[in-house]
Amino acid sequence: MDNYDVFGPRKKKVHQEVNVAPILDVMFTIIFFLLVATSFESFTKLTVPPSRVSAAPSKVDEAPPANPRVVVSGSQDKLKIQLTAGGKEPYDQIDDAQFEKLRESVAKLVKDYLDKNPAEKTYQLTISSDLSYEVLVRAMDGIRESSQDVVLVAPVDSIGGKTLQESVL
Amino acid sequence: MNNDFLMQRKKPKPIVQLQLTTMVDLVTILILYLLVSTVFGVSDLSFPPELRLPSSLSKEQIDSAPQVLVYNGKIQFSPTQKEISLAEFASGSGRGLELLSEIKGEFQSQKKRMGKQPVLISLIADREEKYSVIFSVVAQIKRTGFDTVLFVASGGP
Repeated sequence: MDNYDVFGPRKKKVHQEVNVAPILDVMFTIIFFLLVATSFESFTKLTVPPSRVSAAPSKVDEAPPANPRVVVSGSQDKLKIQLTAGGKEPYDQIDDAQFEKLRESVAKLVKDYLDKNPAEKTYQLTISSDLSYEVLVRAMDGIRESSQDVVLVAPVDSIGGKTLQESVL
Repeated sequence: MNNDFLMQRKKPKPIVQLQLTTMVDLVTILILYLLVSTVFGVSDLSFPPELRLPSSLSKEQIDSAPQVLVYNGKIQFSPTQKEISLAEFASGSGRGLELLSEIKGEFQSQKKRMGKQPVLISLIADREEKYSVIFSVVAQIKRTGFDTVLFVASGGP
């Protein structure tokens, strides 16, 4: 039967068109939703990890952890950064750090120390009580370039008289 | 002239068609861009527009957690919207004690839901807030049981 149809009158070609109007409607609705829901400012967080109890060293000759501590003091214009590690004298320090360069200065101190003491994973951080939250966050950023484990310690000028348990978060 | 006018055939009206293909292309690209750049869940954070967050280079994404807002000498706890002065909170008595017990209640309900996962709380404070204030607030919060405090900052230098 089909063979006979070949010689029959030609059928008109039907032009099929995609109906894009409803697609556009949906897309515009999505765009409006996204425009309203979008927040173009990015937020981030810095985590203060939970406190832990460290295990005792397995070998007798293994050195105990020195609990390195980064101390930021002074004023916002002229900051003093010290890295102490057990001893009375600071391990290293920068006397006239600038606020804008605080991250880099702290990162350098911590990296230098970490290169010589790779076993030290946790760093304590304290700043003067009158220094701002921004200083704390910048110093934390600096430490976290080398180590993710930062423990906050009570303001450097208020530790006197407190036990370590009271002053460390 | 009049005869010419009568003799003239009506010209067929041109069919005006809208070129929708390019439009659809553009709209699709726009949608893709918005989908990629949208950060969902940040709307959980609410703080006054005058509050200026510190900036951080941290790449961590914000987690959904109850928030404590420290601003203008006051402290506000988001789940209950209770707001008291920092002095009352630091004293740990009266309204300060009430707020602490509300935070503790929130911790216990979160702990039931989270199981063994760490229970998080976000701290939002102005960049000019003094460290003594931040430390005392965090210390009080940690006493209520929250394992991990998230310092909320704005991304970028």
